[in-house]
Amino acid sequence: MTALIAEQILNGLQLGILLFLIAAGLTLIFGVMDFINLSHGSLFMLGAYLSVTFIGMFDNFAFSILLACLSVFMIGAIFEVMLVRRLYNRNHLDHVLVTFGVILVANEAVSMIWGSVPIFSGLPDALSHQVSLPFGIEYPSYRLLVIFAGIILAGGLFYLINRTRLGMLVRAGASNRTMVSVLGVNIKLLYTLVFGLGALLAGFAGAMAGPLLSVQPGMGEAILIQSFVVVVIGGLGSINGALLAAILVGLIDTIGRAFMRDILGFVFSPSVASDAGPALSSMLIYILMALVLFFRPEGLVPMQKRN
Amino acid sequence: MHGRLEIQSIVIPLLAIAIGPIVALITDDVYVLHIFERALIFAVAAASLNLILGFGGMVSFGHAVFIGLGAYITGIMSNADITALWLQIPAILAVTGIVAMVMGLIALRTTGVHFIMITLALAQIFYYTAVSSSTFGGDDGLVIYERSTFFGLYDPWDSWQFYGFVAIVSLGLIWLVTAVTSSDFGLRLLATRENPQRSAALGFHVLGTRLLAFVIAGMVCGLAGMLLANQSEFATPGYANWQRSGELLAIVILGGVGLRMGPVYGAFAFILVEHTLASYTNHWALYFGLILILVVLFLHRGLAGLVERVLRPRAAKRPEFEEAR
Repeated sequence: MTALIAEQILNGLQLGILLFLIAAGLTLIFGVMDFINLSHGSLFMLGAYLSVTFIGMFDNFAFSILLACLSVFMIGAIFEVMLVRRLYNRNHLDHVLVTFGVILVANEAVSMIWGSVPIFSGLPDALSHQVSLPFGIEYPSYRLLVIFAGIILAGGLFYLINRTRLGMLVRAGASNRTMVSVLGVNIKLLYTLVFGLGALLAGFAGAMAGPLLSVQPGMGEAILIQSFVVVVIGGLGSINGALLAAILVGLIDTIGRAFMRDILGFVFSPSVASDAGPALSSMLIYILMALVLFFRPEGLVPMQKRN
Repeated sequence: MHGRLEIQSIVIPLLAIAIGPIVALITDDVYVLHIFERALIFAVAAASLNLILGFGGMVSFGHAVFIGLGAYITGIMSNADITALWLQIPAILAVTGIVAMVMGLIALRTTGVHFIMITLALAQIFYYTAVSSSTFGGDDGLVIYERSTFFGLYDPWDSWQFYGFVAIVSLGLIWLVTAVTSSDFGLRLLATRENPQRSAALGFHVLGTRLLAFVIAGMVCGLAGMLLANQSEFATPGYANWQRSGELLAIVILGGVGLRMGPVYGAFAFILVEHTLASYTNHWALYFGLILILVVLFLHRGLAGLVERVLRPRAAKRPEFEEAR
């Protein structure tokens, strides 16, 4: 039982890390540019498709992931320059609609190029075995790699935001956009870089999640909605909040799915439990979000913003 | 402009219900009626969304939940042999009204992006309930074996009579929403959108006004769900999916947000584009996505705004009111 619980906690952590990578991009883009990007899930999907394609072409796992990330960074930057840039001075409704349109276009484009049938990417042999962890836990090595790579990338992101000049500009842009541009910073370039960085994070998450999920059109949407839940729970624009909320949502979602039926079984009849269990476990994160918004509308770790 | 019905608001819905039968007679093909039934149903749903989005400035990303609720209640009652509309309609109004009230009370505490996200989250809760309710078909949806009846006044399985039923209900609901937006209440709603502080200072109950609009919109949209359930003989969780809510937003924008007849134009354009493109290509959503992007970028007030600019070039320069922010 403890091994099962520990394994589910690790799974939850792994989902949380993936969610953080996507939510970090969303929240950065929102915090700095005040832009709602529904098509962020499409960048996640592109990362997954490109990495699978590159693995087929080069037969080198690490190199393919890297190449997929760089490609998604470029695609994100081009997307920002061509379309997103025109929308910064529009209202949020326009952001939602245009990026909703982009989702439709991206899904159809992907199914035209790669077909609408899910594709599965095999793991390299070195990563497709189980690792023995302390306390007798057996855990797939690839999932462990996802956790570690995610933690390293998240650490890199925090370093970038908190310790570098670019990060300083990003933080400055998030707290007072007008002031930054008045001080002579090339705000257009900064916006493009931030958008590209968000795309890169989503692309990396997609590339790493590819072997764990079925790669298919529309795969970005489920995770996009969850990431938005993370962003809102954490506080719009707040990276620290996104990290906290991502781990929270990842753990609650995974553990809910694994154990909700058994927990309900203690109280209700088995048929009720097997019916309500999956429903309630899928709803948990939305209920959490509604509760957080009800009691702390600005999120768990609100961003400090001066106007 | 306000306080009285415009000619347009009376004529356009009448034209909208007439166009289907005319095309059906010309092409001698009863099947086209089904397409126009769908257009009318979406026009009603979009009109209800336009009430809160265009006039109340509330960007709800979960409006499709009411279509789902209306469809499921209709399906469940019809399959239990309660097909009478005089029983179904009060049931739908009661349930959607209560759900909208609860949803509104939670969501209206927030504004802006948070409002978008919380309506989305609340709609997802309903979606997952429907997906896992194995009694009502779960993921596969609920097949409806009986259509609604009204004292035997019409035969729901006759294509023409069923179209008449959909047309009359849709017409009534679109006019109802138009009347609401033209009423004093509609003006108060506009005022709360334009400047909540000032409206409160003038003595309007801002939350109450918004909540009432939200509840009316939910109930009207529930009836659109009732029509859709009858039309498709099916209720599925997919009706309440967040993509459907996005489509409803898209229809309102396509037509022209905050313009009374926008939803009618938008719904007809949406259904016709869907139907025409779907017969040429499997990837019609690609073109719809492109159209949506272009409309948002360049067609400021949607199709209704375009029509207005052509018909009344001078009047169109002074917009009735600015679009929702």
